[in-house]
Amino acid sequence: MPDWSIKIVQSSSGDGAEFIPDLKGKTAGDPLECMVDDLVTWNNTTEEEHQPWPADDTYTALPNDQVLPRGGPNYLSDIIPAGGSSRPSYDVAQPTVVPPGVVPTTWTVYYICALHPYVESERGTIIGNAY
Amino acid sequence: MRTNRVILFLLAVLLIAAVPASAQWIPCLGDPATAGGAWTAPDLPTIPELVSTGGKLHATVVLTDEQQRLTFKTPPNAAPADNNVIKCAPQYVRVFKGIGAMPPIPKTTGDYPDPMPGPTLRARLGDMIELTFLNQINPANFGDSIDRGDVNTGSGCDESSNGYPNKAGGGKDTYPDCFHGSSTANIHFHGTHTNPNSTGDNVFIEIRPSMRTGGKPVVTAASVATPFSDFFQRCERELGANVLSLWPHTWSDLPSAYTTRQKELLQKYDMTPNIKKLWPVDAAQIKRGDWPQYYMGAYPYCYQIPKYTETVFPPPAPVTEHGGHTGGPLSPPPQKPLQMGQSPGLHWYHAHKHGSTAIDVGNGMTGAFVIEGQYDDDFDKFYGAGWTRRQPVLVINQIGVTPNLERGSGGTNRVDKGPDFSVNGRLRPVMKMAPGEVKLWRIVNTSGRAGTHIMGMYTQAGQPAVDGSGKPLFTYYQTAQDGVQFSPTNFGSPGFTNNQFLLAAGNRADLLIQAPLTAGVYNLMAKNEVDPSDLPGQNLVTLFTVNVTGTAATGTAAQLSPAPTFPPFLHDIQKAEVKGTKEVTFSTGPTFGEHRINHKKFDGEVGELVLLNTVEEWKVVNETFGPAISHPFHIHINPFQVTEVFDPNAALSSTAGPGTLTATGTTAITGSGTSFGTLRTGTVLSIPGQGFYTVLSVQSETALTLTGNGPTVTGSAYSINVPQYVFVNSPAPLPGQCYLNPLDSSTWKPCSSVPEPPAAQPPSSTNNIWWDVFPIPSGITVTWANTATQKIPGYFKLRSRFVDYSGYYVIHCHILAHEDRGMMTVVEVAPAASPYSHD
Repeated sequence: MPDWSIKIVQSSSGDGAEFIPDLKGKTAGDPLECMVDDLVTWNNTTEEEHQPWPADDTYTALPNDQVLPRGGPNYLSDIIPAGGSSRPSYDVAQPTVVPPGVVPTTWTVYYICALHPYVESERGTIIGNAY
Repeated sequence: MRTNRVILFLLAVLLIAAVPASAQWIPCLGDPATAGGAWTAPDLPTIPELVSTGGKLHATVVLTDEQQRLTFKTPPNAAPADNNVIKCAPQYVRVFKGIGAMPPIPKTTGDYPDPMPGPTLRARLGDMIELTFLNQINPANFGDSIDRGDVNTGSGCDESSNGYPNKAGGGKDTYPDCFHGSSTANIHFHGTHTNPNSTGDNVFIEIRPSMRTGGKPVVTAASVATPFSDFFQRCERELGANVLSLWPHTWSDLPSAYTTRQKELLQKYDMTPNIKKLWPVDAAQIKRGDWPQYYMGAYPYCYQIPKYTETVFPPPAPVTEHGGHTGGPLSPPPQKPLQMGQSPGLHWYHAHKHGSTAIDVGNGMTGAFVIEGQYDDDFDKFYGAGWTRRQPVLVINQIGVTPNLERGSGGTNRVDKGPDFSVNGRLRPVMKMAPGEVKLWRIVNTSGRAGTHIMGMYTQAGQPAVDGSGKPLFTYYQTAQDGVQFSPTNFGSPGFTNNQFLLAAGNRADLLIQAPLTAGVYNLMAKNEVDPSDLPGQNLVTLFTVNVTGTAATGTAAQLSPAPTFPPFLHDIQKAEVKGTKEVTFSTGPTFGEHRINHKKFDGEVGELVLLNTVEEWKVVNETFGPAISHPFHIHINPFQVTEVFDPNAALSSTAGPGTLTATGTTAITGSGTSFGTLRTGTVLSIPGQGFYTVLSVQSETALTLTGNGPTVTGSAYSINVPQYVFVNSPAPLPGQCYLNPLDSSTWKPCSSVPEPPAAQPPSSTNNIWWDVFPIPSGITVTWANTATQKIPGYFKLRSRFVDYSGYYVIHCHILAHEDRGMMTVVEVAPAASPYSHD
């Protein structure tokens, strides 16, 4: 199963940062497409700390009780220091939904930077797929 | 804001979107340009080489990272098979590159380079090895993976949102016996008989990636060129004067320009928040006179490959063991003759930092190390100058990114037996041979997990490649094992001709192979094996294809050579030489996933102590009782001979059973299409992925009862083994079977041991082959009378000469995830002489 890296780079506008899948031809705003149980990490190339955090489809941060504890299936990363990479690695989890037994084969993880939630460029998506 | 609450209908937080999508798959090497076309197998590439000249291998190996086009089975849990759906994705991996290695790596046909093993190192007996090793990995391209205990943010282990390390395969991995520090590295020169300390084959050192400025490493080949040049020159003088001197001994033997800069860099690194500091560790070791452990960006490997020059074995006795030794395992012993030499042959190298061996080897941080000598000279004399250098070096690996344990849920998407085997970085590549041509295939299985069980040459139709009379179309002799050539007794003998054999993770073999006289396309087939019980359920997979084409070879090119000259120091170890015995126990359990040696996970303490220049016999025991795992035992520095093997799961015969089995964790088995009526009590069923189960009673053609704990399977294939060992006397054992009393451990031994090597002097006593990796037969849990159970371990016995080099090195399991998780211990070989005189 593959591993993927998303670069956190200084925004081209100079204000805030952007998330770019570290693949040829990808630009800010492009989703990272991957399979269930792929691992995703973020590479912070900026000079500020960032923390990917899951959000809803309006890019509103999900509450702690749907994300924590640290290391749980929906936890994306600790705060990433400038020049560092994320920890723990995010294992792309297949969602479970109500009613039980309905498991999507394709889904989207929306995320923002928890430290800069109102910076619109600091948003991204991961599209998950089942085998 | 995190405090903004959103009412969701989902239990989980991840939203479903009706977005058609797929992973970022890219075309694989050989994929057709248009959909529906056929895949084209790639050519077998030649691995670039770094070759010694003028008596030294003076080269630079750079550890870097790049995105490569890696292959993946889809789904990942598909059993290894040629007809699996393979997809490709660009992946960051850590790789070895050789500066100036030739020929160049082939250009990619896609947007990303394809995998390629590290450069093949090629040197000769007696050569100096002078390698500038640079670690220029950019760690930020990978998840945060630290190299010492991170006490403030987590466990010190790599971590994933799937729960690793707390949910590690039934147990809980704890630092340092867990995956961690994967961008920190070193090099283990697997198979070398040399100095295990300081700048030799030292796996205790840890070289961190260079710090970076402006995105570029600050430690470069240029920045260390001058101090390393000075160091290598002095190293040549010191080891040239005494190959056994173990030089360098202390930090002060390294150039001050290098040590001063290292101290600066490590102290700067130590300013990183939330880490344990590295320089204080080095400083304390230096103060004690020990070799420091941590480095930054660059390291100078310097050692000599010892050449045995005596014409007899054993060599003339040293004058005295006293008078020159000043104490401590790293201090220079008195000058004396080599007790052994390096065996010329195919050896290899790989990253060996504890906690990251599995992931780094999986990334592709492996390479071949060909050490030339008379073995090569004799082949070249027969086939023509330079022939051996034109022979294919074949590096098998299971290339992947992150070990299973860090991902997946309950094994749902675990990679069955690991990633597929690649050869020289390619899946199922094609090699050309002329009709009748003879080649020397030099094969190393560098995989971190599965053994490659070589099954032989097959046709494209999947049948053994034989003529109408059943005679094999190819003829091959196995001529070496683990880089140690076979004796004339074994060379070309029936047992080593067209043989099926296991290359466990770390094993090597040379095959002198002759192609058929007629053109055709054939495959070298193999099966994945972690334990012999895997074989019945495994598919045949193609390692590589041989296209026999062109003008037929003639003359000696179409003849199998006689055996090369056999070095005298490879004389079999006689029982009378043995001065000490030990028992070493490898075990998995009590919770599956916990791997130990002598019931202890690796903690850096010395596990085995041996006196220098003595011969010992070790009983290496496997207390793994299911699922069956034949842990590949490996010892550094000295090869060994195997004198006894006890596999309590051994089968006299094994046949695929009709129908399928279903069981739900109980001993009651339900068959579908089965013929259980033909089975007798004591017969063993081998169930893929479940292990061995003994038949206790048969109720009908489709119902029977097993002993012990039952399997959990649905519609599973199985094989019927007639076991070599039975644990009940009634019914009476079949011819060839042996009864072992489960209550009497003195009976737990092979029916017949390997005969002692004859006492005669060489060359007549040279028929026992040498190894440096050997799978320890798994244990068995036997039940009799349906109530009592007994665990009976498997074992083998080895003899080894712990000669020439004192110091610290390791034994470990070569399933490298087991090593990273604790299945390793330190061997200390101590000088036999004291610093005192008794005049």
